[in-house]
Amino acid sequence: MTRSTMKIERFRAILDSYGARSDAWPEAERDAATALIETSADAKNLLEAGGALDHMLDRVPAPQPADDAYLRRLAEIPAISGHQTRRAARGGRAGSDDHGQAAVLSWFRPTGFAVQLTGLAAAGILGLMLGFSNFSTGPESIERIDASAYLFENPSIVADIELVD
Amino acid sequence: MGDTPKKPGKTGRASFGLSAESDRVLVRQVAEGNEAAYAVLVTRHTNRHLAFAERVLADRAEAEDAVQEAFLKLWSRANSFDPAAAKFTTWFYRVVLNQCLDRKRKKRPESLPEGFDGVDEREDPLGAYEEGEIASYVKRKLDQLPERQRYAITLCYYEGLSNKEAAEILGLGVKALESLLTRGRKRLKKAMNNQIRNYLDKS
Repeated sequence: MTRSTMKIERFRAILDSYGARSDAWPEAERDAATALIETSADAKNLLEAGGALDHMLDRVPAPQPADDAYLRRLAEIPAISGHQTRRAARGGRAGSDDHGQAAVLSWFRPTGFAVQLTGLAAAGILGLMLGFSNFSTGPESIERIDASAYLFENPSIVADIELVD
Repeated sequence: MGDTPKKPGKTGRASFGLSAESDRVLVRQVAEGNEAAYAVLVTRHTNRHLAFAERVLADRAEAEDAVQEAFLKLWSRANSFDPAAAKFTTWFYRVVLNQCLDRKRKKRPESLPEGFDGVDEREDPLGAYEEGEIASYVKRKLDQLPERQRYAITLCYYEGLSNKEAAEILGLGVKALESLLTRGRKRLKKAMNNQIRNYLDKS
């Protein structure tokens, strides 16, 4: 589009969609819109009115930048996830990648980390209690091991138990 | 900035010079396991994508989790980026947006606060606010927009993306994007009619 071809209707449509800041206008139409403002009083009036909403939108402050701790967490993703998720993505079984990601992310979250530590501690205590109370082997032992493993994989259950206590 | 492949450093020791590389080169090196290239992308892109996620989710902690998941996807699936199909930033905005949408889907709907859509009885509600509250007032109006209209305004107005990039991220044509923008802005003007009139009277 050349500088002289924009009609006032199109200029109005640009303001309605993109607002009055020229850097937000479609690049291909920017010069033509600027030229229209220079020659048309109607375009100038529309521009002034169009700036009011932008003024309101500009009152919302930009979100805070990331802090150093968060950037470190992101940078540590390769080290924490290792190459497991990469292997899974390259042809592991279906869903294994998501499972791996979920596991990695849960370690990153402070709450996830605390719950998992609690889970480890509780599973350890449970194992000791079971070990002292009954030394027999056989099917029951397998059940105990399964129970411990279940607690490892479901730390929220441990959290529930603690709440009851 | 050339696209000549360089030997990737597996552990991040070979980071010298990487910060000057293009996103496209860095992503290819990430796909080969180069942690230093990944670290450069984190430094370069975290803030803008975190800001975008926060605007989409209206929650900082959720936004941080969404961006974290997006970077994990980048690390594990960098080879799914096709440089012939899109710029890295456009592709990564899409990854982040998808993470945000997943979170919104999983989140239980919250009960609306009391008087959330009540009419402000004050003659000049915005004028009666403290300066710090004006931002919250406008932000609340933005958050009440239909989602796609809000994403379109966020990408074009706040993120400063071109209409083509924003349309691509939202999976729309440019005309459809413009329609969303127009409807969104019209709705905002209506919602803040008094304040806009005041502003125009004073200016």
